[in-house]
Amino acid sequence: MAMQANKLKERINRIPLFRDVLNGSTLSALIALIIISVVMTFVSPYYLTIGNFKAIGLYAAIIGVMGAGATAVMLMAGLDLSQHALAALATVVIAICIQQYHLSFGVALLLTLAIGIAFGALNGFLIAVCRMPPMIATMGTQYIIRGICYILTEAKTLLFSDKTLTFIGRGKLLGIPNSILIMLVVFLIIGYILQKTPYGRAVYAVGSNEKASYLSGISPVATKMIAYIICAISSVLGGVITVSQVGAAVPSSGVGSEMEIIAAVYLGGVAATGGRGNVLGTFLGIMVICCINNGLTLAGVQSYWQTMVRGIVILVAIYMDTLRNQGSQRS
Amino acid sequence: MKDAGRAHDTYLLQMKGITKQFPGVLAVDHVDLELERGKVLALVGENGAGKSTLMKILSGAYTADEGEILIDGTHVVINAPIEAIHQGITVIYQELNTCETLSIAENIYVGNLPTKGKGIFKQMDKKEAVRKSREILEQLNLDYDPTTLVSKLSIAEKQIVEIAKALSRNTKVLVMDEPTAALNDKEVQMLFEITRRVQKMGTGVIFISHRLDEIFEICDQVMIMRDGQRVYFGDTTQIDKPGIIRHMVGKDVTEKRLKTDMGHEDVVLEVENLCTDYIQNVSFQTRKGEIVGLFGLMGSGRTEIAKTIFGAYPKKSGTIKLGGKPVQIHSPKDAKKAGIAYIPNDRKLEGLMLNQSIQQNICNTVLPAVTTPAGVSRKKEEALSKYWISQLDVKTPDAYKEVNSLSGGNQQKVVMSKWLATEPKLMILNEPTRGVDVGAKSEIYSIILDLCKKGMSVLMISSDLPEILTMSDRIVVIHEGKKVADMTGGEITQSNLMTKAIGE
Repeated sequence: MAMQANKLKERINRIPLFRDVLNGSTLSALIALIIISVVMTFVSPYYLTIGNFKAIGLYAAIIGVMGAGATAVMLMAGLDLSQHALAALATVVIAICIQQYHLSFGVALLLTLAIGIAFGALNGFLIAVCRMPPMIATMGTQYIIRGICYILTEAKTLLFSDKTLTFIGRGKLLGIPNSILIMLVVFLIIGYILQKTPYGRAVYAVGSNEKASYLSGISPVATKMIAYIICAISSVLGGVITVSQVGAAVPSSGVGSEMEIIAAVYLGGVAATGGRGNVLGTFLGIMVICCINNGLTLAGVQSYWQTMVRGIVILVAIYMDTLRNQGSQRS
Repeated sequence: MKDAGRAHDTYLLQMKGITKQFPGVLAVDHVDLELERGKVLALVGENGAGKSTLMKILSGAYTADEGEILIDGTHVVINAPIEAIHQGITVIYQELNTCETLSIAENIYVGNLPTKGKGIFKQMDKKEAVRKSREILEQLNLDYDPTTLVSKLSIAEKQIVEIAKALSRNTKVLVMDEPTAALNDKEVQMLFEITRRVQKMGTGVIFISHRLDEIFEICDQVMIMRDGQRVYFGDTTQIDKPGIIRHMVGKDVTEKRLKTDMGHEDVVLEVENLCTDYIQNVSFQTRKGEIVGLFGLMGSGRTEIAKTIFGAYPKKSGTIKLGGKPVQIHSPKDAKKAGIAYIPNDRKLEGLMLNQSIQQNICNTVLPAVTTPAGVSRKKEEALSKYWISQLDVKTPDAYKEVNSLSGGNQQKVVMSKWLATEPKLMILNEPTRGVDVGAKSEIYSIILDLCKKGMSVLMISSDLPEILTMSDRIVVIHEGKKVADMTGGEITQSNLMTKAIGE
C-alpha cells in the first residue's frame, strides 16, 4: 500500500498542474467553491439547477476569458487594470463597424483584435521597457481607453444586431451556450501556452526571478510584452462575448469591476510575487467569484451589500496569497 | 561616577572575545579590539577576514555569539542598530545612507529633528535644525549652506554630511568603511582633514581601508585580521607595508596544487583592451583546459569584467574573441549562443528560480532542446535533468523538488548543471564555492577539474586565496579596474597576489 501511495505521489508530482492542486495553492479555491455551493443549495432551491448554472456560466465566460489572459501577466507579478476598458472598447468598435460602416463581423473582429494588440503592446512597452509599475501604467491606459470609448459613442449605448454575433451569444452546441465553450477553448489555449511551450516556461522563469532569467539568456522584456498582448487579446474576446450576449455596446461596461478578475486570479493561487499558479486555479477562482455573486442575488441580498461582500472576498483572497508566500519563505 | 574604574580606563571602546558563527563558517573568532579617545584605528584584512562582521556586531546589525562590548569601561548591550546609535556608535557604510531629496540640515537631523511646541502642537523646528547644522559644519570648518539639497553634493561631500550627522548624535565611535574608495586624491585629503578635526574632538575613529598609504597617513594604530582572528595590533609606527601584507596573507600556502596539468595551447577566449565605465584596457586570454583566476579586492572590477564578457554589462570599446574569431555579444542570450556560461556569485539573486523545481531550473537555459512540435516535452526535460543530477551528484529525492529546499552546495550544482546543459566552451565562475560547506566545496572543485580535463576553458573569480592559488593555472590581478599582473607558476604566491591586488 505504502509503495503504491508513494508511486502515486511521484506520478502526481511529475505534473506541475496536479502538484499545485495538491500543494494547496489551487486547492483553497476548490474548497471555497464546494463550501459556497453547499451553503447555497440550502439557501435557494434554484441554485442547483441547470438554468442557474447557465446563468453563472454566461457571466463567468466573460470574466473567465479575461482572467485566463490576466494569468499570463500576473504570473510575472504584473497587473492589467485596463482589461474591462479594453473589453468595452471592443464592444464599441464592433458596434460602430457593423452599424455605421456595415462591415461584416469578421472584419470588425480583426480590427478590434488589432486595436487590442496595439494597446497590449503599449502596456507591455510601458511596463517592460519604460519600467513603470504595472498598476500605474495600466491605470493610465485604462483611462485613455475608457476615454476613447466615451468619445466614440458620446457616452451613449449603441444598440445593433448582427446574425453572427447573435449566434455566438445565444447559440448552443450540445446544449452548452457558445460563450461558455469559447471560454473553455481560451482556457485550453492559454493553459497550453503557459504549461507546454518554451514561452510558458519563460513566463514562470521571469516570474520567479527576473534577474536570473535575464542571466540565463531569457529576455524578460519580450516575455512581458507578449504576456500583455495575450492579456489584451483576452480582453478583446471578453468584449466580443459581452456584445454578443447583450446585443449592444455599453461604453461604461465593467466600470468598477476592474479588481474582480485580479481577485479571482489571486484566489486561484497565482502568487502576487510571481512564478506560482496556473490557469486551472484561475478558472476555479473565477467560478468562486461568480458563484458568490449569483448566490447573493438568489438569496435576495441587496446589491449594495453585494458590493461590500465582494470587498471582503478580495481581502480574503489577497490575505491567503500573503499566507502562502510566508509559508513558502519559511520552508 | 558610579564606575570607580572609569578614570583609569583609557579605552573609549573595548571589544572582548567577540565570536560569531555562521552556518559552516566561524566568521569572527574571539577577537579583541581596543580604541582610545581621539585615535584613528585602521582595520585591515583581505575580503572575508571578518572585518565587516566585526563592525556589524558593533553597529548592532548582528549579535555576537560570545564576547562583550565596553564603552568608557562600561559594559553595554547592543542588539539593534538603534541601540548602537544610543551608545554613540555610528557606522558610515560605503553605500551612503543619505536622503537625496532632503537638505543637508534635514539629513543631519533625520529621525532626530529639533522640535518646538508641545503635545499635538509639536512641530519640527526647521530654523533650529539649520542653525545647529551650521554650527556642526563650522566645527568641521566647512562653509556649506545647510539648506542645500544633498542630491547636489559630490560623493565626498555626502560622506561629510554623514560625518556631520554622526557628530550631531554625539558620536563617540565613528566607523568608516572604505570611505576613500570612490574619492579622488583631493577629496581624500579633504576627508582626512575632517577626520583630524573629528579626532581632536575626542571621537575615536575606526578606518577600514585597503589603501596602505592612507593607513600610514591618517591612522595611529593598526589592527590586522585574518580568517576571523586578530593577527596583529599595534602602532602604525611599529610596522611597514610589507609587514602589513605579511600579516594579511599569513604564511605562504603549503597546500598542494589541486590542478596539475597545464592547459593546452588552443586559445579559447581573447579579451583585448576591454573598456567599460568600470574597467580600463583589460586584456587577457584563456586556453582550452586551463583555469585562469581573476583576483582583486571587492569593487576592483572583477565581476564587471566577467559580466561584460557575458554581455550583461555594455562595453565601451575593446574586442572579445572566441576561438580566434571576434564575437559580438550584447546580451547573455548572445553569450549563451556563442558558448559562454556564467555562474553568478549570488546564486539566489542571479542564478536560480528559487520557487521552481530543479528540473525547470536546469531546463530554462535549453528550452528549444527539450521542445518537440507538440510543445515542451516532459520526457525530454526529465531525461536532461536526471542526467545532470546524476552527473554532478545533486542530492535530492527527485527532480521536482523546489531548489529552495536544497542546501547551498546542491543549489550551486543546479546552477552549474543548467549551464553545463548548454555545452559551453568557456565557463565563467564567480565565487564558485561561496556559502557552501567544506564537503560540497571539494566536490565542486573536482567537477571543475574534470571539466578542464574534457577541454573546458575556465575563468574563475574568487576571493578565497587558497582556492584561487590551488586551482588556477594563471592568475590575472585587477586593481581599480585595471589589470596589474598576469602571473603563472612560481610567481603565484599569496603575498604576491595581495601586494598587487592592493595596488602596491
